[in-house]
Amino acid sequence: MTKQSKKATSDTYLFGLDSFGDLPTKADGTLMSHPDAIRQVVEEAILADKLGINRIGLGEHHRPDYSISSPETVLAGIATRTKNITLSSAVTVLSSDDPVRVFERFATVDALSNGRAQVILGRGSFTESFPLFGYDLRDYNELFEEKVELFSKLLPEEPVTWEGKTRAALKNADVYPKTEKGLGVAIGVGGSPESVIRAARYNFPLILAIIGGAPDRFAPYVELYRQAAEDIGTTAHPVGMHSPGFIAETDEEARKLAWPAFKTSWDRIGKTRGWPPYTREQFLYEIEHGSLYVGSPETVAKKIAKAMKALDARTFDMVYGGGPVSAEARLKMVELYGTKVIPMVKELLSQ
Amino acid sequence: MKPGIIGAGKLGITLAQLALKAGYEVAVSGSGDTQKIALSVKVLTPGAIAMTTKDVAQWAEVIILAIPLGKFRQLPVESLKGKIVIDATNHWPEVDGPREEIIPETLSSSEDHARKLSPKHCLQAKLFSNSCQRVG
Repeated sequence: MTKQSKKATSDTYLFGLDSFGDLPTKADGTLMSHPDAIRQVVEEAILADKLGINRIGLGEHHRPDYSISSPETVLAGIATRTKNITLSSAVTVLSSDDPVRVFERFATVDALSNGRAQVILGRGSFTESFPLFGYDLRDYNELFEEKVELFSKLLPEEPVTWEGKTRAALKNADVYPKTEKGLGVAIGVGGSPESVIRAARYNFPLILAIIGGAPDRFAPYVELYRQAAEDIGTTAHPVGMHSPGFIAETDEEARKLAWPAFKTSWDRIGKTRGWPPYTREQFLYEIEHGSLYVGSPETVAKKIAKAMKALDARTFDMVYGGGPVSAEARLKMVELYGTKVIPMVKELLSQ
Repeated sequence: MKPGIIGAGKLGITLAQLALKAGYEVAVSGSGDTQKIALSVKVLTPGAIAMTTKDVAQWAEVIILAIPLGKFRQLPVESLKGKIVIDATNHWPEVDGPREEIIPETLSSSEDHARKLSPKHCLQAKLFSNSCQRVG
């Protein structure tokens, strides 16, 4: 049995920050370099740790607009400069990676951080990693299914024998380093029912990535996870959610700073996916009724508490600093999240 | 009108939820036997009927294709002939592979599907096609 639920029990609420390593803007309006952007995330994680934020999650992308392609390397850097914060990927695109290497790298981060490493597995929504690492996207489902299976077999940290189509077979293979308390694992899902059931099947905690629309639409997926776990005989772990946000001192300032950043980011991705340009109406609608947690600490806290109640979610991870935002505004956001938003949400949830 | 939805992924389930909310009797199929989608249908779209694709084709009066374009080939085309089909598929190169391997160069995907299915009417529902992909 794995110990992936060690970080969340049903009576606690945990709060995290997620970043893809977007390039922040400099004072002159130009973008930071990739190395600077990576160092910026490390500084933000150090601040988050000081403020008692529970988790930093780093996404894996292979595009010019995001500096982090190797989350666990950045996490290793953060590991030696922080004390308590959980160090997660968000997500590790397992389909185009090797489960054995993923285990080894995260087990190493786990050692460096005294047991704080966590792998959040996902299929990912970008596709760049597939041609980059020599995988065919037409095998998307099979790659993920097989690799999750192998990864789950590695977690007990005993010799593994495994055979599949997507990588070389293993015969009684032992993988190192061993961890002290087991590696933290969760699975990130964007709304595919099949993926929700898969999380239950492998006895992994579920994190719902909700990036648009009313969060309560996802309540049936939480129920699906629980029912599937019951049917299969696994544990329904506390469920988490992840959504984008932006916090500043006032609603007005937050919207002023977030709008151009979100629009730039959305339109850039939309170009390759055939989305129409992001509109101001869409932005405001998502803030009012959907899944953009943008505003003053009070506005954001109320929205988070409402969503967590609606989904019975025990963890909330905010994707912060999406799009070109100044380093200063990002640090301010981390500070407001840790000092104001989280205490307010906890207060609201205890009522 | 009885809508049938072929595809039990994000799009298919969402459309089934909306159709149920609007008061329709709805059937949903996934790939393979109904057991695979039974739990999803029961929990996410209570009231909808899980069927095989062949049964959906027979039962429904309007059929929505909510599957990846590359999966069209796996459909039981014969059973869809003469039906009203709303086609929500579109070409996503990374997932579906090169276009020329699936659709003739001179046709849109829905035109190609219309010819293969020779349905009564074929609507290309472009709107759906990109609305369900997520960023993240």
